[in-house]
Amino acid sequence: MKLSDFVVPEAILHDLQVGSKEEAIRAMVASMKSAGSIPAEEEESIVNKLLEREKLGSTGIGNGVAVPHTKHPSVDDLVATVAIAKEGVEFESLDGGPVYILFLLISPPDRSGDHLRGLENISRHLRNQKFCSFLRQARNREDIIELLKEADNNELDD
Amino acid sequence: MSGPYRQNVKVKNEQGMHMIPCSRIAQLVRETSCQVQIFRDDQVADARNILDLLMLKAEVGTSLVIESEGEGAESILAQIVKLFDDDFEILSEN
Repeated sequence: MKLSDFVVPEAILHDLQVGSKEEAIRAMVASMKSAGSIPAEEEESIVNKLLEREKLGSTGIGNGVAVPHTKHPSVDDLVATVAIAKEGVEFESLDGGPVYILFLLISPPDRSGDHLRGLENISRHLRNQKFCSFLRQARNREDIIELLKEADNNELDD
Repeated sequence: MSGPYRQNVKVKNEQGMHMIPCSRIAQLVRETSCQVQIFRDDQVADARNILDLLMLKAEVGTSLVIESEGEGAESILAQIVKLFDDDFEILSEN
């Protein structure tokens, strides 16, 4: 599985400016709606599921990274988007720090294998310092799309 | 005695080792100074690191080996094994 298999390029946000975790999640889901990767009428339901999931434990996993995710019956395949918050967002992270890089995933309820593979794929790249550093420097959506491609092709490996 | 200690576990969770189980383990280990590693075949994860744990991609039924070393290693190992036994006390997850 590659990032390009499930990250929706049109939904990527290179300059997320929000004041809270909820605003970040809302902005990312709205972007997926605009890109046509989720049904418009399911936007609120998806946001609510993502916020409920956060109550079970923050998906801010440390090192400036958050991976909010949920399962939702309105999607047929795993879909995701990326957002970069240059000023950082308070996310109740495991290490207490703000997050700068967000990957948001929505997967069909009956596909836990795909969900795990998506998380594994994102985790592998997020362990790469170069990938994270370059993501935070991205000036536009195209920079991020290019970086995701390079990551898929293992061009950023140390 | 500070170890090393070792136990085998099996993933019971139907959804596999998704982010909640991985976070619970990492949070527990981060409260100690122990070294804890989780092995899946020849792949190894530092249990402090959620990304490492997610990369194990352990689905339901997967056998894992947990090793711990350092101050309180026996206790931390027992607590992690209990998390697996109790299926991470997850009532509603996704």
